[in-house]
Amino acid sequence: MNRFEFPAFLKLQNLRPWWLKMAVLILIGYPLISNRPAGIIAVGLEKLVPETPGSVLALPIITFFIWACCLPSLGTAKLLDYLAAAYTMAITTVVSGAVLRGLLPALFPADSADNFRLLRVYFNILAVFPYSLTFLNSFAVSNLMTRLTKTRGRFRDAGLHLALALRICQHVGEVIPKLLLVWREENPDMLLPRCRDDWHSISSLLRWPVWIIRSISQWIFACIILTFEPIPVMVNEIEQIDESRDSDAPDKI
Amino acid sequence: MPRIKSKFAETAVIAALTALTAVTTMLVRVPIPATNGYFNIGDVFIILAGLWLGPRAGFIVGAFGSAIADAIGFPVYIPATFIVKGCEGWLTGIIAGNSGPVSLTRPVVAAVTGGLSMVAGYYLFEAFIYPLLGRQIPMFNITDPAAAFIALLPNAIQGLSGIVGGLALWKAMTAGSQNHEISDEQPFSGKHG
Amino acid sequence: MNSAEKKMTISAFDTYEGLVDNFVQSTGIFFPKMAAGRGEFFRGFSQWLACLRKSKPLAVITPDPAQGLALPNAIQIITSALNQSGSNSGEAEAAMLIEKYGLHTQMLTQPVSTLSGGELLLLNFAKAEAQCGHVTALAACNPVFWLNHSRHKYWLNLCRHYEIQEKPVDVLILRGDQLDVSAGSDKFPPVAPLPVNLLVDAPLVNFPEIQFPVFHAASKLQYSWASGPEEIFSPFLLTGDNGVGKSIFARLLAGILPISAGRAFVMNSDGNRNVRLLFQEAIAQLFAMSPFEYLRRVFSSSRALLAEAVGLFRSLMQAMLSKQLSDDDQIWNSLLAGKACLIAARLAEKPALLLLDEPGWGLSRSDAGNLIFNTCRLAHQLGTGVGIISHQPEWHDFAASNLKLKKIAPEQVEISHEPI
Repeated sequence: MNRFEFPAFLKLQNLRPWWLKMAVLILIGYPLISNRPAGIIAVGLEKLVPETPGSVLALPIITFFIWACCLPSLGTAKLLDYLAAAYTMAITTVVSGAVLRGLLPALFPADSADNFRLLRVYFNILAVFPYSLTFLNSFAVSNLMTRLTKTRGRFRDAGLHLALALRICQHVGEVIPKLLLVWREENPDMLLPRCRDDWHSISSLLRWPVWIIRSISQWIFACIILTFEPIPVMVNEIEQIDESRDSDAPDKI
Repeated sequence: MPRIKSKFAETAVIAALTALTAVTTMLVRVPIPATNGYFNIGDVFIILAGLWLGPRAGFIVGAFGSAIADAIGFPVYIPATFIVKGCEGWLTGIIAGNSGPVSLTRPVVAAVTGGLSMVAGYYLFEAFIYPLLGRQIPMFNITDPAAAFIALLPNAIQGLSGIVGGLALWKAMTAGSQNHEISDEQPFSGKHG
Repeated sequence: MNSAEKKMTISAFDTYEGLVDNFVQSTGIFFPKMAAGRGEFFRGFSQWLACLRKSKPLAVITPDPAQGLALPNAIQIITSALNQSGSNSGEAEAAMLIEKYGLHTQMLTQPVSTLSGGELLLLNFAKAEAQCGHVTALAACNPVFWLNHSRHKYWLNLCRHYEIQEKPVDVLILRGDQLDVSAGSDKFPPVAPLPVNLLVDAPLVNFPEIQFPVFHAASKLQYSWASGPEEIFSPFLLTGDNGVGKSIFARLLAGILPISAGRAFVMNSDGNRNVRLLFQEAIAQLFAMSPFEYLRRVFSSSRALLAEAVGLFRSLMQAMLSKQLSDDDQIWNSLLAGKACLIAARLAEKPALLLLDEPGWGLSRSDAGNLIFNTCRLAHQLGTGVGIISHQPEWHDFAASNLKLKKIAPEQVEISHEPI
């Protein structure tokens, strides 16, 4: 399979200095925090083709713009991975909202204008998910840590805490795929237990929700434990960096 | 709550709980169209952080974890969430104080107060503050007192799930844990070759 | 014994739990004993939070080498360690250092989570050398377990470096480790071979996570069978150099890594193609449960299988320990019991093949031998074949077939069947 590599200058992670990178990323993300670009696109579209629902079409246009900006930095395979997760999240959010509106109208009442709001939430999730991960991956935590090991001054403590916090957040992102691999070996169907010999009767319909609830609790505990597991070693490493600077320059503030 | 002796250890645990709050908040989301908000189960970790690590951790986990999740899909709620969820964690931590796993009364009162503060806080924002802000900044013009009233019930269910889940997790995590001091440094004590 | 070795203090332990306890006591770094379940984990973690003790700066090689690497890739790990020691040389010195420890410079930017056990250990060595200027000593757990014999020299290089710097090296090993000079050679009687059909038709695996953010040649791997489809005999040994792709092949056979092209499967005489796997990091497979909690959870929907799995677990433990065990014995919450429980749960389902990926990790040599011998005996009684995946040669004599993996190109691995 031929791999297409985007030119290095198109990749946001290569942009220097850091403040320019930050400025470009904020500029790309501006349509996600302000309604103004969507409004301008909607008005433009309605002028161009009067019968077009501009405000609806503006949403996918902005989403495509964000994806196009993220694509060179992420590459096709990674963007598709992120989009798979974003679509899952967006669809479950919107569908659960729509279903509960029908089932429990007293709890989740809505009118026709709310359909547009749900659509906006849908496209917002599709755009923000890959964007925020591109944003995070554009700044290497360890580069920050490398700088901090050399830093002198009053911000060094804050910087080290920030570096540790960011690394832990990255680690949380690694735990879930690891658990998925273990889960798949145990339960290849993912939502059904591998060993279910007694599940040929009607009563198995009742067992499935129990199994799912227990599985959710198990996942929560496994996620917490695997997230906490490397913390002592990471803390030890950061403390050593802290101590090494203390011993190098005890008199500097 | 454990006395955390390392400032970096505290940061690491708070960061882990913040990330887990963001993940669980994003995982199960049911939109409430009337207020443009959504139902979620992220409160479990906010209550847990308040009970386990105290008010400061509770505030950081609640404010940042939930605000990060709001950024994906519901950015207009970031300011309200930052304050309301932050206060939820802070209040839980303040009331729980240094209660160990032996007594359940204080933790339960703390968790219930935290949950109630979340429901009340969102009502305050949705019924009064956002409509007021909406007059100046159109972005916030998304809700009104009637819609806020409708959202009370889903928010109360969310609060209840947070209280029950948070207490259950806290109980499981602290069961049997006592602050044994690790003995002084010992040399390697095996067979020497 | 080499002069560099004489400078180090070696402590040998019978159990993983004993080794971990000592590691925690000496370094102040909490290291969980996951097989004891979540209650024990949270108890230990809370104690660590409350009683965290600042020790002198130490370079550590943790019982699980993956845990000692707190940054995402080699370049960041090494430059950060070099900076601790006051060196500002950066990437060039980092590259030199990882080459010194037998790793390719391509690995500088490869995510740590995608490296093999041996590569992780060598990266730990490079990091420990980079830290040497700052730390007072090196505390290393099982420093040669994951290495092929030809790579033990890297451990000696690290010891020599610490010796020159006049810094002590404390080594914690499990009894029977290759650094244990008193270790005898435990021999286990062979078990009667069981035929297994293995078909390998150029399976290709892609790893998109290694392509990001920098492209790597290691982002895909294709296996080829040197001598065509043939019958092999259980227990078979799947061996090869560090990082050749043994664990990937095991995951591929077990069906948990998707194959992009070609095919690979195992089939027994009944046409059964079910393959189960005991991971290298088997402890993660307990999903934060103790052994009995795990069995109750996994077989919650099948009482018959639960009874069978519990029976197999108890008989495996009793055969290994050669004594009657009471229910409150601590051994039920050990890593050995965790592995036995995972094996019993898999055998209860009677798969065509049970793959054991580095089953000896975390066990003393006699425990590892006992576990593998008794697993093979029990599995063959049930008609299940056993494959042992290991870089360690001592299983060669025990195996009925020997499959050797060899890299013939950066993305190509050849599997050959070597008669025993």
